[in-house]
Amino acid sequence: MYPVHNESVILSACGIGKRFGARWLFAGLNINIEQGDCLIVTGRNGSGKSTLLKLLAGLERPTEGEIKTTFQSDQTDRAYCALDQAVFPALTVLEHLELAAEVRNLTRLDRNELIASVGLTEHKSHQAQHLSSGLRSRLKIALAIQSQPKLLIWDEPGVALDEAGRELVSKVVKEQLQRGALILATNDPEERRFGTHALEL
Amino acid sequence: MPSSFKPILAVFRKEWLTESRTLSGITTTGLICFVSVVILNAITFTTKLNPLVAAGMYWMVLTFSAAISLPRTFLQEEEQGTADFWRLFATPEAVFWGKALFNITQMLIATILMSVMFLIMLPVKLQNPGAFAINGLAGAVAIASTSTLAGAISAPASNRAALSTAISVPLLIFLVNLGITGTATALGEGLKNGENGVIGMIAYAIATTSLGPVVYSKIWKS
Repeated sequence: MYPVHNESVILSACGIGKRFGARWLFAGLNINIEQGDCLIVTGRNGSGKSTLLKLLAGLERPTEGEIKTTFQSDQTDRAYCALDQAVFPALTVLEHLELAAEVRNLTRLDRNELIASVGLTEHKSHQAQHLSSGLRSRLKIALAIQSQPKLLIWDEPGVALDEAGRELVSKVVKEQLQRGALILATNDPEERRFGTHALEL
Repeated sequence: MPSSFKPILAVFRKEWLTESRTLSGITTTGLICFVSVVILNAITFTTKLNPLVAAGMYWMVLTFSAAISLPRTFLQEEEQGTADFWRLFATPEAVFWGKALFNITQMLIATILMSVMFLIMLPVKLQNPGAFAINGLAGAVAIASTSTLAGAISAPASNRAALSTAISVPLLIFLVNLGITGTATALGEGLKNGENGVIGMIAYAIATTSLGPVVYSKIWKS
C-alpha cells in the first residue's frame, strides 16, 4: 500500500490487525508515515477507524502485526486527540496543561499563549466538568499540540466544534504538516482535503 | 528537584486537587472509621476490652476502609476514561508512585484520626504509646501500598471492582495479622516478639511498593 521503508519514516505498521472475540475488525494493514504525510482514514461506522487510531497512538495493542516508531519519546513526539477522550472533571483548563507538561517534563512552554491559541483564555480557570463539549474539544487540542509532536493522530477533528473551532482545526493541521505528520480519521469532505494519502477501512 | 520526581509529584498533586474538590476518598474512609468506632463504643460501653480483641477491631476498621476507598484512585480513572490521559502522557512508574504516595498520605491521615477516636471512645488503656504510633503508621503505609497495588492490577479488567476486593483481601489478611500483634502488645497484651509485627509491615510495604510499578507497567496497556 505504501512505499518501502526509508529513513524518513516516523511510524511503520506492519501487518496489523485487531480482533474482538471471534470477529476481526481489520487485518493485515501496512502503514508507513513519513514527515509531511497526512493520512486520511475513512470508513463506515463500526469499520474500526477509531480502533486503528488507538493502536497507532499506542493506547491499545494490535492482535497481530507490529507498530514501530522512530520517536525519542512516545509521550512528547506522538500525540492523540479524540472526541471520546476523557479529561479530569475536577481539574481546570490550566491545571490540565500544567499536569500534562509536568508528567512529561516539558519546559520552556508558555501555557497562557497555548490557551489563547485554542480560544480558551476566558475559560482557563474553569473546571472541565463545567465546559461544553466544544470547549472540551479545544482543551484536548491544546493537550495534543502542547509538546509540538512529530505525529498527531486525530479522530474526527471537527466534530462538536463551531465555525471558529473548524478554523482552529485547519490552522493546527497546517502547522502540524510543517512540523511533522498527521493521521486523521474522518468522513468529512472538507477535512479529507488535507490528506496526502487515504486509507479506507 | 530531580526530573524523575517531577512527574510523580504532578500525579500526586492531581490526586490531591481532585480529592480536595470532591472529598470522596477521605469522606468514605472517615465515615467508615467514625461509624465503626461509635458502634463499637455503644457495644462495649460498660465492658473492659481485651487488648487482643481491641487490636482486632482497630485493624478490621482500618483494613475495610482502605480496601473500599484506596483502590478507587485507579478504578475511577478506568471508569471515567481518564486512564488514557496517563497512557498518553506519563510513564507507568510515575503514575503508580504518584498514586501510591497519595494513598499513603490519605491512609496516614485516616489512621491518625481513627487512632484518636479509638483511644478516646473505647475502653482501652495504652501501655506503650510509641509502639502503638509506630505500629499504626507502619501499618498505614503497608495497607496503602498493598491496596494501591490491588487497584493497579485490577483496573484494566472489566469486573474491576469485584476483582480489586478479591485481590485486596488475601493480600491484606497477613498484614492485618502483623498489625494486630503489634497493636495488642502496645495495649498491654503480653505477646512475645510483638515488635516483629512492625518490622514485618515495613518489609511488606517495601515489597508492595517495589513490585507495584513493575506489575503495573506490564498490564497498563493490555
